[in-house]
Amino acid sequence: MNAPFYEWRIWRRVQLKALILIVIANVLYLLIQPMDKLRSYSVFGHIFPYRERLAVPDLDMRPQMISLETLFQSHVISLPKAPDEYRVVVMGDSGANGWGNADTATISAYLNSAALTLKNRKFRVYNLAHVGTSAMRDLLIGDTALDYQPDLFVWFVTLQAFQNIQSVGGLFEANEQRFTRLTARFGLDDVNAQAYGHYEDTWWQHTLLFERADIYRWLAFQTYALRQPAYKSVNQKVLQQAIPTQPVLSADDPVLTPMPNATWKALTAMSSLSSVPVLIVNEPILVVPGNTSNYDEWIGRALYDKYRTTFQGFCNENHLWCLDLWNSLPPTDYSDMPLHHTDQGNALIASLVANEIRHFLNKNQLGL
Amino acid sequence: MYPSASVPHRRTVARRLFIAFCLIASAILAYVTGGTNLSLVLYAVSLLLVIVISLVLRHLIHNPQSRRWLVPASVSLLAGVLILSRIRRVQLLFFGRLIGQGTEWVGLSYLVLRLIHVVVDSPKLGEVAAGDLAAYALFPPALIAGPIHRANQFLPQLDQSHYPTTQPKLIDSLWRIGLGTAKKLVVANALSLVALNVGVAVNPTLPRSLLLLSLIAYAFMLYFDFAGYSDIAIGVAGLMGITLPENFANPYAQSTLTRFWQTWHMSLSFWLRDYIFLPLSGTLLRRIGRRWATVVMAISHLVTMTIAGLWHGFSTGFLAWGLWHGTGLFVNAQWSKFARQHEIKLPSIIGIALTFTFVTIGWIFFALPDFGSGLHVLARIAGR
Repeated sequence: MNAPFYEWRIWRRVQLKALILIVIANVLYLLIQPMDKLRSYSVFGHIFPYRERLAVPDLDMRPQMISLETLFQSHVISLPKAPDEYRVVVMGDSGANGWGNADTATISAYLNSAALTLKNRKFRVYNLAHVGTSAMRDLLIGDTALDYQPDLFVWFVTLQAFQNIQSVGGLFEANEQRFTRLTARFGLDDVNAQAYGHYEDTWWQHTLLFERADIYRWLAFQTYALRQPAYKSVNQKVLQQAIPTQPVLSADDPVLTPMPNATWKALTAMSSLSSVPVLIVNEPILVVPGNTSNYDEWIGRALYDKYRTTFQGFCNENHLWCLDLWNSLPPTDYSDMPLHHTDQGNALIASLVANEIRHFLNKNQLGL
Repeated sequence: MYPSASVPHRRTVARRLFIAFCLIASAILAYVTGGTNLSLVLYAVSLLLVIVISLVLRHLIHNPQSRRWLVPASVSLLAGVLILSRIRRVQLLFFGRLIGQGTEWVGLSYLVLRLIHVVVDSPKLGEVAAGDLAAYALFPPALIAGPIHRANQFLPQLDQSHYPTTQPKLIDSLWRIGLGTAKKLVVANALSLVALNVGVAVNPTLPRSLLLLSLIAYAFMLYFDFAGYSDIAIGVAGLMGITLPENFANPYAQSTLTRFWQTWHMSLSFWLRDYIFLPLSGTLLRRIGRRWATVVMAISHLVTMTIAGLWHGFSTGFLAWGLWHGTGLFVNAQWSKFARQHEIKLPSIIGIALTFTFVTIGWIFFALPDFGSGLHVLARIAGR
């Protein structure tokens, strides 16, 4: 190193130049707004094949802290809709996603195998269920899915989807703009809406300094294509786990009651979001025989029974299209968790949902 | 009564304050990095080990004849603690449960190597006070990942000023911290997005070319991450008035594997050379004679690098990585001998390419948790 390197005035000059460069870069960034263009590019569908399910980005970014537009671009739903396609979107939690099942053994895959048709249009089912249970999060996903011309939503919900807690990582935070629009339109007032439903657009939010994390997350998400999708095979049977004999959640659990609480608005919001019909399925839960307090390791019987009554009442009152499959699977059809199913379990759920759709088709000629 | 403001007294106070600062800073670092309260308990055990070794040193000064049994016993104790902390089965056997599950025993691997060096080289060091030894063995900038500095270089520095005494020294230290931070947080973190890992290795749809690129990215990520960390450690130590040894010197630009190891994680390489390779090869040569020098060299390289592999962790992947490098170093030494005898000189670019390829193949076993998955990736890259 030569001598001038040790002089403070050199360092001051370096700092000044760096500051000027940062200002120039931010002004240019503000004028060009490259992130808007960048978001429309993806390695998925070009260098790498689309994924059958929504990715679960768990790299250095906070889990799920990703814009839904970017997330959807990795999904096969990004393919153009065929003229003879009747596009069905499945939403819900990891059980509906098929965590632990192969792409060919999810509820969506079995629904595809059911080969439903409507006036020569073939049903093509897309799996947009994501890990974690949150009705509000699903509303956000459903709203994004409308850009991909769906003809029918099949939405799996369960008791835990209506917890009035901030949930599912950073998905709300990363999609504040969209969530604020939904909050204003439907008067949402759960804790997520309170935290992330008040986005205000300012010029500095479009600077390089402010959007640097978005750029990193977008870039990091593209490299996610190199990795095996996060789901893995599950062999463990849930019945091996001990179920408490005292209720694990009481009937007045504060996170879930009053029932319906503010999170239930997601159901009515989703159904009135567009003219696309929404089938809301109360998904099966594990019912452990011989336990009088709990249905499984998470759910107390009294609380869940109250939820089911509320669910049916809420559907009737708001004229929602609902299907209650709560006890339709035998205990042997669950895998590592009470909401995760074996391949056979998924096949059975898909056949029950397909029957419901067929029945409804005959009655109403869905959306046509 | 203390003598009034005499220079030696001021030095003693400054020294004690510095030692106290080092120990408190290390404890905080151990707690923050380890993540649980148990990290602090494990840090206390580290301190206990230092005290035991300082007692051993004191005993050796007064009873040099006990060196014959006390040095091997101390080395065995230190190696035993390291092994115990690494092997789950041994923990289950001794404690009936896993210790430190979800907690990291911060800096244990490096602490053990430093203490072994102190015990083996005790005649050169003389008596070392427990506080001085603790400041050396648990020196905060080098606590987590080295460099593995030597006590004979560190201890005399305890009497120096504990701040950069000149402007160039201050700027040098800040420069090293900045450079290291950029290497680690910018380059290494960016490379980590595409570097080989289990998720990439098990993705059956990934083309061979991209798998190879991810392996090369891993090679550079590892370098920038570790060299960056070493830069930060050296820079922070510089701010504390302590000079730590260099750890990296363009390892991927070396034309032989031997030179690679003289420039990659140098402080570990030199430790392995001084405390495993040279004693082992020397003993074997004395015992079985120079006639078997080639066999002795093969054994010494393999044993040294196998230990180096297992020092990183007890897995079949690290074992394979150690054996790979042990074999490579032996073959490299034989080739150098042959080339010297026959006056063969290859262009250095060929040597650099061959060395980089060899080292990068070895990283497959380093990156993945077991030998089987490493072999699987190697086969896929080879097109099988």
